[in-house]
Amino acid sequence: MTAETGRKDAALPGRAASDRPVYEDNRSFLVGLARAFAGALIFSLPMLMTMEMWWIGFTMTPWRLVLLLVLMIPLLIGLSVVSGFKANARLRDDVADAFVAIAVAVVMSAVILVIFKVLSADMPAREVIGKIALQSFPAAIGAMLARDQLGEKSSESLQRQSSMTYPQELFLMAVGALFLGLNVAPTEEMVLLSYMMDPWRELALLLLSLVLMHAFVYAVEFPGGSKPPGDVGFWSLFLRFTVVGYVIVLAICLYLLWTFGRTDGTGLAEILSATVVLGFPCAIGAAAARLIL
Amino acid sequence: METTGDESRPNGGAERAPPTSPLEWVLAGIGALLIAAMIAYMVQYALSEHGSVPGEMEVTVVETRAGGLGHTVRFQIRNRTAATAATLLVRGELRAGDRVVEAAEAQFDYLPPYSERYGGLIFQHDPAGLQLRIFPTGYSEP
Repeated sequence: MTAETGRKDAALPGRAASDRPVYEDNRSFLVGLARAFAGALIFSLPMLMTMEMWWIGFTMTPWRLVLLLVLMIPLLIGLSVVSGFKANARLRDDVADAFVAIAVAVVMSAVILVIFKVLSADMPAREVIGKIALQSFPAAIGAMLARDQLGEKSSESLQRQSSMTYPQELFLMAVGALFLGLNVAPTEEMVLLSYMMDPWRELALLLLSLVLMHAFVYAVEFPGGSKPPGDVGFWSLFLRFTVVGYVIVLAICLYLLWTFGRTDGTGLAEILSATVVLGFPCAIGAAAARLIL
Repeated sequence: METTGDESRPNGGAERAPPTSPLEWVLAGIGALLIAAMIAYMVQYALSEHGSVPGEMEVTVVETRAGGLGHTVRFQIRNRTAATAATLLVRGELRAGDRVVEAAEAQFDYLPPYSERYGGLIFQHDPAGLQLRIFPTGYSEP
């Protein structure tokens, strides 16, 4: 997993020497592992310090937690495949990366939650496992992204990133939506804002989300004119990235709100408005995915 | 990403990232084990849960201490069900026969399934000479 960055850095200058061991050395693996821990911490600290995350850990329906954990595995593998910083030869290396990220996430979440006294020895297994399992979701994504955020961006990796296929771009947008959205999705404020805002303001927020999203998409799509803007029209970019991206964002928002139990017993209008409210940070995250991931 | 980036790479993909090292596989195994265990536990928990209602609670007085503002009765409340009680209200009454001499209340944000939480009730009267009753009076479902 993130070990690759460390190894890659080490391997680049020594590429000429073909007598290098086939495996990376343990030191660069440990550097990568440390990076994974750092990434997990950076990504999930806001959630580790959000009380709703602790509570949802034991109040949420077990089946929803199971679904979240199951979905996490393909998400992490996909992230490993799409990530522009690593070229795994085989899928099984990506799978290994995903599970290392999970191991890092679980250990990190457990340690921090114990220090915070959110977890203690006298708590029942359901509470302990629920809290760790929920926190490990953002932490594992963070561990997976660690090399991107903390590793230096080589021109080679940037090139890899700019040559992504369309589904990969959309996938990265979804991860970007999770990146910002997970910070706020579990909080009471999402529902509170949706109660406070009238329909006109929600409509305004929806339009603002779309406009800002498109601005980001446009700015990110042509960084320093690496792609000639001439061959991609406004509508093509708007429909292919902004609109499709926003639909993906709303679907993710709805899923997160449902997972965190915010949709239970709530009217359709309120669910929709909470989705739009959460959609705002998610849209920014999705559109800026290439910049922040 | 398997092929798209290759053309731009100077080595043309001849030397990709080295294969996963044994140490990394060990860690990956641990990760796989951890997530499998969490999923298995949650599935087992979900299957064994029978929509219980948080009614079965147990209150134990831990200690009574006299302080500047009154007498503090520290107690433990334990949830004996698989349901969570939110904003749980606990009331304590000091009685002399049928008459309630003094009442105090404490509120718990959450009492998770099969968990215990500690709280305190502060009385002006010394509970020593009176009968003390502590009982939950209400909760909301999260």
